[in-house]
Amino acid sequence: MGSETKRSGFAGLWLAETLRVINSVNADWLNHKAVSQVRAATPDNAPQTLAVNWSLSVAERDGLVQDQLRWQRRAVLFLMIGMLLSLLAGFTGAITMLDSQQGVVNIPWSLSAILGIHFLMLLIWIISLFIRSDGAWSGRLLLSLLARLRGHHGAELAQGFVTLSQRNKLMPWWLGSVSQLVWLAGLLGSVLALLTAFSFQYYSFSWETTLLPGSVLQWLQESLSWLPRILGVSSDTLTLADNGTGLADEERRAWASWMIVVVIMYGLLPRLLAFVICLLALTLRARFAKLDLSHPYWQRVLGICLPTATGGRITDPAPDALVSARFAQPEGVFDGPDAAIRFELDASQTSEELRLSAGQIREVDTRVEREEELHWLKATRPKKLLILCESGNSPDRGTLRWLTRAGACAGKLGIFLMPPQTGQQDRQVIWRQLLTEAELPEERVMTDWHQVRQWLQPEAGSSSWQEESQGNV
Amino acid sequence: MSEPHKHQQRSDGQKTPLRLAIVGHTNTGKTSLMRTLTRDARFGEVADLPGTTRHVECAQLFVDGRVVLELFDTPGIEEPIELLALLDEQSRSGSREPGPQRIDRFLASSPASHQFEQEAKVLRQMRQCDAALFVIDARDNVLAKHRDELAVLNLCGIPLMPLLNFVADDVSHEAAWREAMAGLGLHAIIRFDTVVPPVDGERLLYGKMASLLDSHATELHALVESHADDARQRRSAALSQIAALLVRCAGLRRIVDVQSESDLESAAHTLNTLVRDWEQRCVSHLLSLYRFYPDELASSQLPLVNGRWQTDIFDPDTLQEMGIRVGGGAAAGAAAGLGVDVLLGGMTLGAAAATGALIGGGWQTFRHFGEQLKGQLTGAKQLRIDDNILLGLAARECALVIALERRGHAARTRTNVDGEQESKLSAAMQSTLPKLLRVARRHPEWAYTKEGWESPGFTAQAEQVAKEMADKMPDLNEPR
Repeated sequence: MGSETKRSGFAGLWLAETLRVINSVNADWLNHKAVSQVRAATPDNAPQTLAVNWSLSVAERDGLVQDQLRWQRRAVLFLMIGMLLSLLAGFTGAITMLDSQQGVVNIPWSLSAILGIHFLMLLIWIISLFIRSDGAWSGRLLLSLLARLRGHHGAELAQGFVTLSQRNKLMPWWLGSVSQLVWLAGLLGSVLALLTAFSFQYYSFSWETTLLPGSVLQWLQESLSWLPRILGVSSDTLTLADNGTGLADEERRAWASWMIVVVIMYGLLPRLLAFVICLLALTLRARFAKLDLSHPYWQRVLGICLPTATGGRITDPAPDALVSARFAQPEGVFDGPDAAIRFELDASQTSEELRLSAGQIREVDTRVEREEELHWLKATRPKKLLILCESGNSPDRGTLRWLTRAGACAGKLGIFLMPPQTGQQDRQVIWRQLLTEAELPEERVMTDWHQVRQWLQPEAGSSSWQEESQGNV
Repeated sequence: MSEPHKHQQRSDGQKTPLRLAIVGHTNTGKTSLMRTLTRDARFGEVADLPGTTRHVECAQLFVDGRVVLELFDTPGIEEPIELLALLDEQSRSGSREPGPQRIDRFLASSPASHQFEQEAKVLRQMRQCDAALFVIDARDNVLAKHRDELAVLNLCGIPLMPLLNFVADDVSHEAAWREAMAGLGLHAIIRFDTVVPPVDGERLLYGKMASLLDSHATELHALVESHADDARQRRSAALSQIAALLVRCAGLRRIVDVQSESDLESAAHTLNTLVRDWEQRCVSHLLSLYRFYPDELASSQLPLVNGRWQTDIFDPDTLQEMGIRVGGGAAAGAAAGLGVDVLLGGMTLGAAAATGALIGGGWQTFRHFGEQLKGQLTGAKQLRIDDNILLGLAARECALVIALERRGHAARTRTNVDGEQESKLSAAMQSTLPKLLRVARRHPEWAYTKEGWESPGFTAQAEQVAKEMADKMPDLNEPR
C-alpha cells in the first residue's frame, strides 16, 4: 500500500474514523476484496493496525486520501488567513492605541491594552485544562468551525476528526494550538506596531495614575522588569517618570525598548511556550490514539480482517476423476436358487416381511463375510439376488464396489433399501442416485415389500421364494 | 515421509502450530466441523452426499494474530475394508511391523494413486499431523467397515480422538459407538454437534485435546480464552447496535396537523416505514457482525428469510407472540393498528410534569414541550413510536443475537425459533426499558442523527440501554 507510510499515525486513524462515519451509511465493505492484501500488510495482526490498513485501502480506492489532503491544505490555509487577520488586528490595534495618546505613551495603560486580554484568555485557557469535560462543547465549536471547510467528504472528515479527537482527549490541545497560534500572530502584530511606531515617531513615556498610590506603579515596574532582567535585558537605569516631559533621549529609547521587551516576554513568549506545550501534548497523545474498536462497525470490520481463522488453502488437490465401480450385465448361465443378503444391517432391523422357504437370508458385514459370500455366490450362481441395504447409512464407494461384484455373480440383482427412520429419508434419495449413477436399472432399486414380492415372482415356472404377506404391508 | 513436525521450533523461536487432521468415513460432517471450528460458513463445500470433499484443505486458527492450530479437512474414507485387506497383504511379515512403516509402504505403492487415491490423501495428511479427530456420524450403525477404518487410521501412529457428530439427532447410536470405541481403547470421546454446537462444546473439545496433547495445552487453552473473549466483544457490539436502534426509534416523532383520520394514518405509515427500514439495517449489521453472509441466509437456521424478519413488528400478532400486551396508554395508535402513540400536547405535558421529567430535562425538555404546547393550541397531534413496539424491537433483536450466538456455521437448514426467548426477554425488560428510553424521547434530533454522527449524549443513552439489555440477556455460557 503506497500511501501507508504517508498516512500513518494520526492521519491514518483519522481516515479510518472518517470511513466509519461514511461507511456506516453506505456499507459496501462486505464486497471489498482487499482483505487478503490488508492481512499481508499487517503481519503482526494488531487489531488497530488491521483496521487502519483496511481503511487505508478503502480510502485509497475511494479517493478519500486525496480528499483528506485537500481538506488538510484548506485547513492550513484557513489557519494562515486567521493568523494574518490576527496579525493585522494586533498591529492596527497597537498603532491606534499609541496614536490616541498624542505623543506621550502611558506605559501601564498601553501595556494593559496590549497584554490585558491576552493575559485573561491565557488564564482561562490554563484553567480550562483542569476542567474535566467530555469534549462535547469544544467538539461542537470545532465542528462548527470545520464545517466551513467544505469539499468532497468535508463534513465526514470533520466529523471523523472531531470524534477521534474527542475520544482521545486531543480536543483541548487542538483548540489550544490553534488559539495560541492566532494569539501569537496578534501579539507579533503588536510588537511590530510598537517597533514601527517607536522607529518613526517621537514618543515620550509616562506612568500615570489617578487613584493608585505611586508605590503600586513602582511595584508594577519592578515586577515587570523581573523577567527581562533574568533574561539579561536590564531596566536598572530606568526611573519612573510622571508625565514624560523631562525625559532624556536615552531614557526614552530605554523605555521604548523596555516596553517592546516586556510585550515579547509576557506576550509572545508565554504564547510560544503554550503552543509548544500543546504541540507536545498533541504529538504524544496522537501517538497513542486509539480507535474505539468495540464499536459495532469496527467489530464488523475486524470480523472480516482479523483472522480468528483463515481457511481455503488447498494443500492436496482433488483428483481429476475417481475410479468407481459400475454394475455390468452378468455373463454366463445362472440357474441357482434365488438368494437374499442382509448387507451391513443391524440385528434390530428386521426383514420378517421376507420369508424364505428354501435357504436362508445371509448376513454380510465384515471382510471375511464379504469374501465368503462372493465365493458362495460364484458357486451357486443364483438366478436372482436380492440385497437388503440400510438406507440410513451413507452409501460409499466400498459398498458400491462390493454390490457390483456380488451383482456380477447373479442373473439379476435387486436392491432393497430398508425403510428409513425419521429424519433419514434424504439418505434413501442418495442411495437411489448413486445406484442409478452406477448403472443399476432404476426398477431394481426397491423401497417397499410389495415391489420386492413382484420382482421375485418367478418369470416362468418354479420359484424357490414363497412370499407371505405380513398383514399390513 | 518425514516424521511429524512435533515440538519443532521455528526459526523465529515460535512453536509450530498444532496440526490436526479431521478424518472419518465419508459423509460424516468433517467439513461441517471445519466450518463450525473456523466460524466460517463459506469453508469448503458441504452436501449430504458421500465424497463431497475430495481434496485436503487447511484452515488456520489464530490467537493474537499467531497461528496456534492448523486444521486439515480431508476426503472421507470410502473403502476401508479393501484398504485394510491391501495393507495386510502388503505386510508380509505380519502385524508386528510398526504401523507408520506399513502406511508409508502403502503410500509409496501404486494402489495409493489409483483405487485408494482418496484414502491415501487422508493417510498422507495424518502422517504429517500431530493428532487426528475421527468424526463419526452418530446416526450410523457401528459396522465392520468402521472398525477396519479405525484399525487403518490407528496405524498412523498419532493420537486419534473420536468425535461424535449429530448426537442431537433422534436416531443417534451414541451408546453403541461409545462401546465400540472403548473396545479399541479410545475412551476420550468428544460429543459435538456441528449443526447445534453445544454452548461450551468448543471449550470441551479443546480441553480434551489439551489433555491428550499436553505439549500444546497452553495454546489450546489460549484459543479457548480468545474465543470466549471474542464472543463477549461481539455480544457487546451487537447490543450497542440494538441500543442505537432503540434510541433512534424512541426519539422519532412527527407533529401532524390532523384534518382527517387518513392524515393520521399516512403520517403513522411514514413512521412505521422508517422503523422497519432501521430495523432491517440493524439486522443486516448483526448478521455481518456474526459473520453470516447475506447470500447464505436463504437456508439458515434463523428466524429470518433472506436476512429479513418474516413478521412485521407493527403487526399486533407479532407483539402478542412475544407476550407483549397491546393497549393501555397507546390505545389510540394501537387501535388504528399503527403501533404509534398519538399524544395530545397537554396530556404529555401534565404527565411529564408529574414524573418530574420537566424539572430534570433542561432546555431540550422545554423545547420539546413548547412544540407540544403549540400543537395543542393549533390542534396538531404528535405521533411517536409506541413503548410496546420499542419493547418488541428490543426483545426480538436480542433473541436474534442469541440465535446467532448459538447457531453453528455448519447449519444448513432452517428451523423455527420459538417465541419463548422473545417473551422471556420482553417480560424481563418491560419495567425498565421504556423508562430508560424516556431520555431519548426528549431528543427527536437523535432519531435523525446519521449513523456514525452520534453525539456524546446519544452515545451515553445508548450505552445505558445496551447495559440494561446485557443484564437481561442470558449468560454467554448458559446452557440452553
